[in-house]
Amino acid sequence: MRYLLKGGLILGETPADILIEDGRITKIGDVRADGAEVIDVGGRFVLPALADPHVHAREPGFEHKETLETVSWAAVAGGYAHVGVMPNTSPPIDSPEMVRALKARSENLPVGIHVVGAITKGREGRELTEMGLMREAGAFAFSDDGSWVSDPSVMLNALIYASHMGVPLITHAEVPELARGFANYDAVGIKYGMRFRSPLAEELAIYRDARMASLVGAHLHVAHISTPDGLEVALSFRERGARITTEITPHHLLFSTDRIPFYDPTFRVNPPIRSEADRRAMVDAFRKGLIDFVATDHAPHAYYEKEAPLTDASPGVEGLETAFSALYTHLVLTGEMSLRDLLVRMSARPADFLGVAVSLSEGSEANLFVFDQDAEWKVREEDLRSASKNNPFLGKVLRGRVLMTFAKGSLAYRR
Amino acid sequence: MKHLLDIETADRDFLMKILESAEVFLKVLEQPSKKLPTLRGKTVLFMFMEPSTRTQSSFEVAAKRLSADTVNFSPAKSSMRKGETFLDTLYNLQAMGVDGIIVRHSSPGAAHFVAQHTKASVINAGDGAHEHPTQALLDAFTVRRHLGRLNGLKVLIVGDILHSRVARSNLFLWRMFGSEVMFSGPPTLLPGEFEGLGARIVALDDVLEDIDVLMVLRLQRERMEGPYVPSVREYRRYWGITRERLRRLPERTIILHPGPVNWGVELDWEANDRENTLILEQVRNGVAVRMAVLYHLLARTEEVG
Repeated sequence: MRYLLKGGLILGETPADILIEDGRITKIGDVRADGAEVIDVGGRFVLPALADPHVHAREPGFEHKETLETVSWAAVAGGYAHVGVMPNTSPPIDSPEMVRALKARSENLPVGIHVVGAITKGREGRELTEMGLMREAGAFAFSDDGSWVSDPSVMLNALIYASHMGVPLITHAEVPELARGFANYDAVGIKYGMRFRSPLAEELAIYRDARMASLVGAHLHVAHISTPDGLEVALSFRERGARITTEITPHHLLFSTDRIPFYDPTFRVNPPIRSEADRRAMVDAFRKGLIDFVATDHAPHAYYEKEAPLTDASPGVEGLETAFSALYTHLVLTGEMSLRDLLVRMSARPADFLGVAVSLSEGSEANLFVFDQDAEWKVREEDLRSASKNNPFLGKVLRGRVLMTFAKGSLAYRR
Repeated sequence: MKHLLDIETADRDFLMKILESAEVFLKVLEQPSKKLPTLRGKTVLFMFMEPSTRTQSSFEVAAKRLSADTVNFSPAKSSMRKGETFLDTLYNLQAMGVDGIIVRHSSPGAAHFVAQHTKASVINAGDGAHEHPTQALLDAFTVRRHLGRLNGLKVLIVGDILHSRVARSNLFLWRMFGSEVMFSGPPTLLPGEFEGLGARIVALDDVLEDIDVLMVLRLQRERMEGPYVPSVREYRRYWGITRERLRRLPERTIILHPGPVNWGVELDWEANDRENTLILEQVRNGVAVRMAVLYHLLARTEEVG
């Protein structure tokens, strides 16, 4: 197939046409149709496709929430071409056979599916998984996401071993004894009688893991970092030469405890939505480039699992279909950061972490999306392609909307 | 007002109306025939997801005195045991046609959650550590009957403030009516953030001689020993209202307790020798106040289904 994207703004700045032939970008500039299917994208942004290393595809075991297929639809609708899927499935992804099965299931899906293997067998925090064999089967990183590896001797060995195998470990940094509840510890939580997940839980967990990683030379990646104190710890080890990277979610960048109804189960998420002061500090750090990239922690749940009193509601929110519009609306249009800086944090850097290259250049595989930067849209359930609908932006108006996405060389989504 | 979900955001005039009507209902309770036809034909559903004896009985007596039909939902015997979700349970019970739902749940915000999913009037009978609005109303009612006002009083609440919905509802109520609220308790159970909500954190022995209302909270059994408080005797030594501390209280000071009392832990038995210890009167007044709440929320609404 040959497509000619006519009249778009490359990276939101330079007017140029893009010719795509056999899945590759073959020409950027002033191009004539010459028999290609012409798609008029006049004046719209043409951007490199996004990548998200932290997604819960729920397969196998929780197909009523999401599957590899439905998460792919959701991803391309959000401008994504590559996602990393987390191993907290049932059974967990803790063997090379499981990794191979997932890779096989994903081959013909519209997005690149990259597999995170579990650090410990059964995600039980005791015995190491076969990280070498799983890496050979295609796992790009390892994580017991959803839980912290509590036993320090297990984590220390996991870091030594992962470092030898040349793979990063992703830590869900919350000391469980300080994170038994469901809400942030702050004045708002005190007022509403919440049960807490303390910011200290994150800070202390990061300290232990970062200290160990620096000691043994491993690459530690901190998932969904949410507190300025935790970030400071991570950065202090990085300054001393440790290989520590971090990611942040759109919901931790855009919501804070004093801006959400305290009883709304949608916003029950681990780590919890933090205070406005913490949020502000995290936006500032994100703007300055102190946080490496955005990951949505896309966590689908069925309506009946989510819509319950806080003590019973499943933790997590969806993110893939709204992440870019939401951050464009609230960080780019407000002048907090440039479009280019946002793209680095949502495309180039997370793609690099996944081990793939995404670029808008001649000769590259076509991984790009067209963004109608002026469209205003209200997020509605019926627009979401994920199998679940627990999106925190439901009912909210966002500026800018994904019009089409090329992923893995193919036209994967068109509104 | 359609619901009574919390004191914090409740309308001041509405709360005042409840307190005034409660006076009338209290007189009714003193008569030989205690039953009124006011809520005849209305159905009140009790969704008590946590054990409660006095609050539930109090609401039941209140509803029955007003001639409402009552339906009891108890999770131990219910299909929630079989995996039915809370929301499904709510929808099913509601489909039977109820006018009011009284909710007790261990989750903060549970009553708000129910209110979002029903057309019936919802009364919060305690949502986790968040609020217990009718308890605060009956406390205020009791105090007003004895001291004649709600403003300009010094209210001291002692105990496990962190986990107490009674403390929060009382804090909001007394602040709303212009009284001062002081909190005292073990530091592990009384975070400094409460000062930002309008309470003054005090040392018990600094203020005993000059308070109008002393509210003693129950120390939950599971918190008597362990990470919050080392032992019962240490708790009693520093935060118990012992006979020695009772002697230092002014005669006018009203002692309240939301019950049930751990005698000899948070409060010594000698409290009963004082005229102004009103723990049983609170229970009696609770029925009148809850009748007033039911009356104002349900009496004038049309049937909803």
